[in-house]
Amino acid sequence: MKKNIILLVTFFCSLTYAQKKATAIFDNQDFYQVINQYLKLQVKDKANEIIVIKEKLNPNVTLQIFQGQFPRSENDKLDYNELYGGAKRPLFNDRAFTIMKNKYHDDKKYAISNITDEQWNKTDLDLDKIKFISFVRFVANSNKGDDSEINNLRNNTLVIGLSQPIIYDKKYLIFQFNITTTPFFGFSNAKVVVMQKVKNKWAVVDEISNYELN
Amino acid sequence: MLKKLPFIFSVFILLFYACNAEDSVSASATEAQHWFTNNVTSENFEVLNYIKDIEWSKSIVSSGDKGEIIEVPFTVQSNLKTKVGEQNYISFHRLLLKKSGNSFTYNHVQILTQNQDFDNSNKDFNFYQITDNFDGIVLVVNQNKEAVQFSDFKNSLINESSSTNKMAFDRCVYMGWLYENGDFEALMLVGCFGGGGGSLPNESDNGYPPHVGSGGSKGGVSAPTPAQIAEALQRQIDGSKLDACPQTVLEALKNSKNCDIANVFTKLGVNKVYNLKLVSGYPIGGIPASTTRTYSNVAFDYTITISKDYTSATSLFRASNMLHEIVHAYFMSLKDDQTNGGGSAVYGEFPVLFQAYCDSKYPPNKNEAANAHHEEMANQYVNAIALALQEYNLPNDPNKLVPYQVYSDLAWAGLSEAPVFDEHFKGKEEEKERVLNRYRCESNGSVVEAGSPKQQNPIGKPCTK
Repeated sequence: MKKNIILLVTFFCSLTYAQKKATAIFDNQDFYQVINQYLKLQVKDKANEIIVIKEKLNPNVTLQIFQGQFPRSENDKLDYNELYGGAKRPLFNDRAFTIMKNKYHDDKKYAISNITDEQWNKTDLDLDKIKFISFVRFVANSNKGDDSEINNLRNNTLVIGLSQPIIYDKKYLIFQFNITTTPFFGFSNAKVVVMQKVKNKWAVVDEISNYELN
Repeated sequence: MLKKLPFIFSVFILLFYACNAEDSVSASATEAQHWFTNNVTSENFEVLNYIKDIEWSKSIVSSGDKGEIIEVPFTVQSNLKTKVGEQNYISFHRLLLKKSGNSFTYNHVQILTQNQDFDNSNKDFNFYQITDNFDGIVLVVNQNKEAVQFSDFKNSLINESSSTNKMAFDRCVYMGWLYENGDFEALMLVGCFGGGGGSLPNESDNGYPPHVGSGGSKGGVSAPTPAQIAEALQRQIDGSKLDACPQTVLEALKNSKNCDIANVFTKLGVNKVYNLKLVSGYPIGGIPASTTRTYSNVAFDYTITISKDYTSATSLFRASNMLHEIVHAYFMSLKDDQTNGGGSAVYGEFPVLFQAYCDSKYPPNKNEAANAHHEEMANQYVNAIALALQEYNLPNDPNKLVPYQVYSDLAWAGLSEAPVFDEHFKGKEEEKERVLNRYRCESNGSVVEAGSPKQQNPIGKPCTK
């Protein structure tokens, strides 16, 4: 019994230590660099104004897309992701995913489930022409549909939604990067981007699509 | 010891004959078992997915004018039941094998009765004869899931009293899960039948005759028509977990007189019943609705999530979302059909599913471009949905003053993720804007781009709660 408790405590400590160490390997700048590098790749026309969803998107959605539709067992079929989405093995590592999920899962309730109470600021993003609009306004939860700014937006304007990057397996940063155009009805092609720093530059390791069909 | 010898000898003789008799049965059965085990998989015989135990040792071999027939009782997972019309039966299952050259033909026999004491290993109930006092149904389904026999017996005679026109529609046979709370979830529609029984489509395959002197096989037995399948599928759609307003919308769509959901299915060529439920929730990405598989490792079972957001949307918007997603689920079933339930990474990719829909009518042909029929199929999709929306909105527009174009625009908006959308509206920017703005204004029940030539006003009523 004593042995078991010691083993359990050792395991718990090593888990906590591993998480702390993981956080320490990236500095604050990395989280913005990775977003901005990807953002600049995606937005070709920098002359026109784009819309960015004001709220940082919810990490639970990032975790869900990364995992796929159903919880996975360690011996799941290799083609799991073919059927139910999520990252492919070996990028998907059960232990690393569990650590990430425990660290970043957000239990708070928000006005809509896709957002958090943190917001993006102009200084966070390296593009000049950005209009920030709340996701909540778009889905008409706060304005009874009479939001004249929303109702008179021109079609075909880029809309981007971003989440705060989170650390995966000590060496990757992953985040939601969603892009569409107005009229905006959410992000039908929501995806999670996995990036890794190689020789001081962030490189895309994988882009994982949402498994839902809409 | 000597005294016991006659007894031991008798037991030995008995065992010897018993073993020989068993051997004479098992010779054919063993060959059939060997062939079946090595050649038949759930990919070509769907019921194997649900089998718990095949009792080869209880094989029944019978001979007659159609040759030697081997029947092997099997059990299925305990909650898998068969339902005929609205009636639940206790179902007993057998494999039915018949040698054909070096292989075997194989069928699935279901003996449906309300007699709990029916003995499925009774050798006197076989392809060539049935036992006395049998009340129930014998249903034989071949490997292509076609019913080759449906016979309704009363006291071992064909039950002619059930031969009414009404029954022709009501007696659809489903296999599916029966839950503890009594809910029945159909996994497959076996067939729809009328009358007391009969044969289909190759009479030479029939067995399980009524006792001599019976009324014979009568009644119009037929494979389900597309309309019957569409009706059966529409009945399967479960909206009980939707919020109040969307639930009302779904019921109205199901109960439309001329252009209900079944009508949409018929127009699009649905040929299979699958499980479909709609729930209220929060689709990923904040979109108005989404469709996914319900369970891992289960094909032909889909869940549509209608967003609890979009709180200012009109009921017409919700109706268009539902119809669009219901069609998505149908496209998924086509893909599941093409891949034997294996699916593929296409679930998040509408264009690939749309292609599956096109391929279902026009199989891929190397002499044609993949998108050769996209426009035609898109028009078929748009017309089916637009007519259903128009009828849905009839209570608000009894004189049909709202132009049909409003409904077809809403239907087109549902295709905006498919390449055919851009192909269709190439060089028609004004039309494209009209379509997008129709969808916008119904999504929040407000006028959009007010004062501009692109202005659109919602025509649907608010869908609150």
